[in-house]
Amino acid sequence: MKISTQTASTGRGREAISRPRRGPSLSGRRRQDLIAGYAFTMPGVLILFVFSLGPALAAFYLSLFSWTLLNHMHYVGFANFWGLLHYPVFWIAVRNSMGFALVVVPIQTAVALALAVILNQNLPARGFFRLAFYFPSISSSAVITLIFMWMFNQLGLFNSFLNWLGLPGPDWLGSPHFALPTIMIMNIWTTAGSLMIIFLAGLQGIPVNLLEAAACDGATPWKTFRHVTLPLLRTTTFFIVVMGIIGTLQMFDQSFIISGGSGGPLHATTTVVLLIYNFIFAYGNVGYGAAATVLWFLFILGATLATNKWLGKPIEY
Amino acid sequence: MAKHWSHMVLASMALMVGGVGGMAAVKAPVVRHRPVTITLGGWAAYPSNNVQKMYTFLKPFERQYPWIHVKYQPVAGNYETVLKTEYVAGDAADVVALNNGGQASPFIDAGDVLPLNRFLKAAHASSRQFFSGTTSLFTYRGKLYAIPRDQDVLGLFYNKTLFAKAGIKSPPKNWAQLAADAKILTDPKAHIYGIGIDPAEAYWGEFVLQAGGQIFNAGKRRMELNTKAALRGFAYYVNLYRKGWAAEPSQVGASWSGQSFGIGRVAMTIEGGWLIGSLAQDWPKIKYGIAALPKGPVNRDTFSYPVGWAISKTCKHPQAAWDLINYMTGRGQPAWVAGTDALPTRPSVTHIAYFTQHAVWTPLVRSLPVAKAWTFPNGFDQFANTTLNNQTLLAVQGQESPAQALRNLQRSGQQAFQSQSGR
Repeated sequence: MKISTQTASTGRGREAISRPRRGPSLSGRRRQDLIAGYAFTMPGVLILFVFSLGPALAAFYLSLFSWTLLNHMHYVGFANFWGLLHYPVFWIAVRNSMGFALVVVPIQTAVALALAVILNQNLPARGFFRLAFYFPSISSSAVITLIFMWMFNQLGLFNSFLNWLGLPGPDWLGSPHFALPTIMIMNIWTTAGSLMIIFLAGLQGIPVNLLEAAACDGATPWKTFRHVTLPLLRTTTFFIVVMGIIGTLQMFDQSFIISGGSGGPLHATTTVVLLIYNFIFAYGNVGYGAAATVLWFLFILGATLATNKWLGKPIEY
Repeated sequence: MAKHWSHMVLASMALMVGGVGGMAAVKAPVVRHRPVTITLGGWAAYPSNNVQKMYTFLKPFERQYPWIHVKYQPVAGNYETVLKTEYVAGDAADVVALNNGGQASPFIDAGDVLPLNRFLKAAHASSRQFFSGTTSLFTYRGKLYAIPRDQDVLGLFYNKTLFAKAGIKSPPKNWAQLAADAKILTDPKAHIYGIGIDPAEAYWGEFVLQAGGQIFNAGKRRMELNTKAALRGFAYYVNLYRKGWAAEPSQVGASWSGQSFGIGRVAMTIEGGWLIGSLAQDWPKIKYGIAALPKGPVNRDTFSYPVGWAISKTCKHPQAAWDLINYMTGRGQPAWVAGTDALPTRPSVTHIAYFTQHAVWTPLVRSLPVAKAWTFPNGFDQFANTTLNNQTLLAVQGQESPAQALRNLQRSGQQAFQSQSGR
């Protein structure tokens, strides 16, 4: 550690000395490195600006205009925001998206952690289970949604199972009370696998000597998990919770497929992002869609910063 | 590339003509036209299958107009969404399909497609050669913006096996019989229901029409759901659900009523001619018949769902585009409807051999003269997607009375008109 710091400082020192000799520019070697670095990252940076940051900035601009996509846009100031905040369906969408995140993030994180801990043991057929749990994550979410629609329909596989147990199965997809919970179940099932992989990596990065020390001190497996493993996993947990929050607040595809794009029944599956899509591409109301995008961006940013404050501290051994 | 291709066609045509003999070479007209390429839009469920079909259909056209090369560029889904972005980007096809259900008016209102009256006049054709229910959909302020290419109408599909089991000899002919038969055919224990009709205005609107009402006034400037006739039609439809004789698709594990019918969970359904193709492909074992819609208290109107061809204002060769449209909706229409399982838009085409050979279509062909296009005014997408669906569902599920639902629809529809005029 010490040695590398010294090298770095001597390096800097040499550069500082060489500067007056070769003028204010960087040394040839450094400049070449810089040019090569920028050249190699340029395609990625360009793509980022053209396809991600550019459109994101455009949303801020468009949120101040009235535009149907087909007519001439005109400036309306903050009228779109005003109208949006007075549109009841927007608040239904906010409630749905937030409810979705509040249910899905804790459960999928807990399930992923539990799966990772189990599969981190020396179990028979461990590889098979790792594959089985990870498989949903690499399948297309559209295909999984279609399979779920088949399993969860009124006369489908899941209700047949409930009937066999003597329970009356609800109309999972057609009832306003069950449509969103069905998507929650599906989402937890699909994402828990990929989060499990990340937790597994985190678990394997925990130094064995700490666990052995805990065992020598007479800690039970639960105490070891609670007071050694879990705190050491905090950076992993932080990553998973942040990605989970962002991902669930942006849920779109499953709602779109299950409701055929309408967000029904009775707005039960209308998420904010689905509403934004509909505003812009179906209802010809680009300004409202852009305004909702801006508001939702600010909300997700706030949620992420709050999570950072809570879980984002560095680990102190 | 495309231009190059049409040059080759011309060259090979010239070779062919030259090869046939001196006489033909003399007779062949001098090619005065510069070769042009016309791009053709539209949607197709399975583009890979449909592209070849389209080119086969267009062969006679390219033989007659060898200088016009048609390039077909179908869109696989969310057609109007894609078309809107194409108009924003300025690269929409020269000839585009305009759809029913309020999907034509945004493009017409924005001036993205050309009025076609002068072409019609130059071709000595008239919009009167088409069913008025189809041309009305594309007529705005006295001008016609698309030529109807084909249409579908609602009919009553009935399951012959379930009818025989219940001892019903013929399909219902009026509303009273429809309700009575639906009651007899319903067996909730077996999860079989009398009728499946989607809880959507595209389906219940016909009951309002048949009771003598309408959704909008004739000029589409006002909601007309606050009439006694509208309530009578809507209440009849809602009542089928409230009595338990009608089932939503989701109640029987389907995503649309055509599927409910195909899997044998509903004995009757009100669907368009598109169901014929779906049944043949997905549920070929079902024994079914089609009847005209049961007659209502006032008339026997039905909904039609026409599609038309229009010319983009960005099109550089409008005359060539018109020649293509004129072929597809004129001389080509018999081949088109026979090849796509759709109904003609010209009364003269209803007599073609295809419909006498395929008698299953007869009741639908016969209802064409009383068919009214299903549509919304411009700016009603949000209303149609949210309020209209929600109020229908609330009424069907018994959380609102039909009268209450119609009052809400009337009010928020009027609001949609007001916000539209304020734009």
